[in-house]
Amino acid sequence: MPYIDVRDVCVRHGKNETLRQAGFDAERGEIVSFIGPSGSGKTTFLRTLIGLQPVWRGQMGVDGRIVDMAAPASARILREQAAIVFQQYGLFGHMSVLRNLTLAPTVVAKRSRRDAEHEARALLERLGLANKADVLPADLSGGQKQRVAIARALMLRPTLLLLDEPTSALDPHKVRDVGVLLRDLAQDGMTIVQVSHAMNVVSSLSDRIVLLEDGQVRAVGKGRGCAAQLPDIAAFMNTHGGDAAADPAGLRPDPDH
Amino acid sequence: MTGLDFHPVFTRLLFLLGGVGVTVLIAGLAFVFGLLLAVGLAVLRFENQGTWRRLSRSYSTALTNTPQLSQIFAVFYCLPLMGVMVSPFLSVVIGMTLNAAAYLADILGAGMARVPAVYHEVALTLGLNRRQTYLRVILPYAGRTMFPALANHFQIMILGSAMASIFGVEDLTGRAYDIGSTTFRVLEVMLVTGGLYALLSFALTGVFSLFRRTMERMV
Repeated sequence: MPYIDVRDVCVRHGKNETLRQAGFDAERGEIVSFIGPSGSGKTTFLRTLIGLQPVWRGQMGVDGRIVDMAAPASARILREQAAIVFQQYGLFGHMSVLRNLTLAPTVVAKRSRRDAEHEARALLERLGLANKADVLPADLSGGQKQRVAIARALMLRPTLLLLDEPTSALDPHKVRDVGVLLRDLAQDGMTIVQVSHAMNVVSSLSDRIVLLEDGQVRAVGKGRGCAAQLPDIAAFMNTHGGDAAADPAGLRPDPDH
Repeated sequence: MTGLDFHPVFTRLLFLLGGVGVTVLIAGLAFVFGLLLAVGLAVLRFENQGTWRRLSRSYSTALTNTPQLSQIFAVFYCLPLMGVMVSPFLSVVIGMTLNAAAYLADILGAGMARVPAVYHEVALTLGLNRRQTYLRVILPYAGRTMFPALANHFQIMILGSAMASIFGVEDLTGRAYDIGSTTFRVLEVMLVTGGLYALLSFALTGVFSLFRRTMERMV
């Protein structure tokens, strides 16, 4: 049984089905990318995984533990195992970077402030933000804000890290940095699901690619370089500014090493 | 200008200055309690769609469209009718609290509407419950955004608390009337009193900007 196993997710808005029997699976430490045209349901799908989008039906298995996503109590369980980085980051503007990171651990998990701050500083250092702990989010660049948002999500010690359009607001050269960071996190065992429009990043970063269309999973690619193998995915990527076979960001590990 | 004689006022300056304390106390109490009520009113209209939101809005509409003086009179005369005996001082504080709550709820409501929508979802996914979300995220953020408007309203309340004198409270204006009626130097005492209000107001502006800067550093 796969580490993450999402099945049969249906979302309805009135009579409209915005998501129909969507599912995917992933092993621990893999990066999954949801792609598809706008309105295809990829962000909706991502939001169901953390209980922000009520579902009509669906189940999610994490490490063998199965959650009925349609159950009223599921939101709490989903939020215990996943953390999300929103497209607009949503860093609290009235708190320092450090407090943004320690808020949930101290207030929700009731950890000591000292302990949480220690972990937060170590995390910031790892992400190259050691000197930003005491500044306000408004004083950060876009790329730094995103790193802080990722750090805040990691403070929750999630099993699953969700990212909504992580590269959409970044300069092209920053896109590569995020890719390297996500790859690092995955190598440490974090399972990552992202919605992305940046096809270059998707093709070089993803272990699995899920192509959505009209609320349905149209194709699933597995393994590095899968983008080029599946005609549906390759066609979508090539028409959306990417080259399915290319690795311009240089994120794919060199097979000779 | 031979007619002005400030001497009788200056000999009673200490008594007059004591009124400054009463004025700050009235406005301060009414502001703090008004703000607490306003938080409740603002959250009520932010969280609800139907009746509760209408009730909260109606409260603000009713109390911002009638004179504060009438509201204090209502408290002053109605509470004793209901068997609750309150001092003039307390009547004024209660009346001004109810009035402040109406204005401050509007200010906080506007601030809460300016909290980025994504904050609510972030708080949810961080695991904060509703109370924690308001206390840690929504209200502090709204409070900071709306700080100038809140400080401004407190200043209006300091000046408006002169109404207390009508009910016999010995605030700055009340004491000024006292001195005026015993020395007949009404113009002189009112000039000095006006100056004291201005000084108080300027001092508060300084205190507020200091408070704000400290708050911004203590992040």
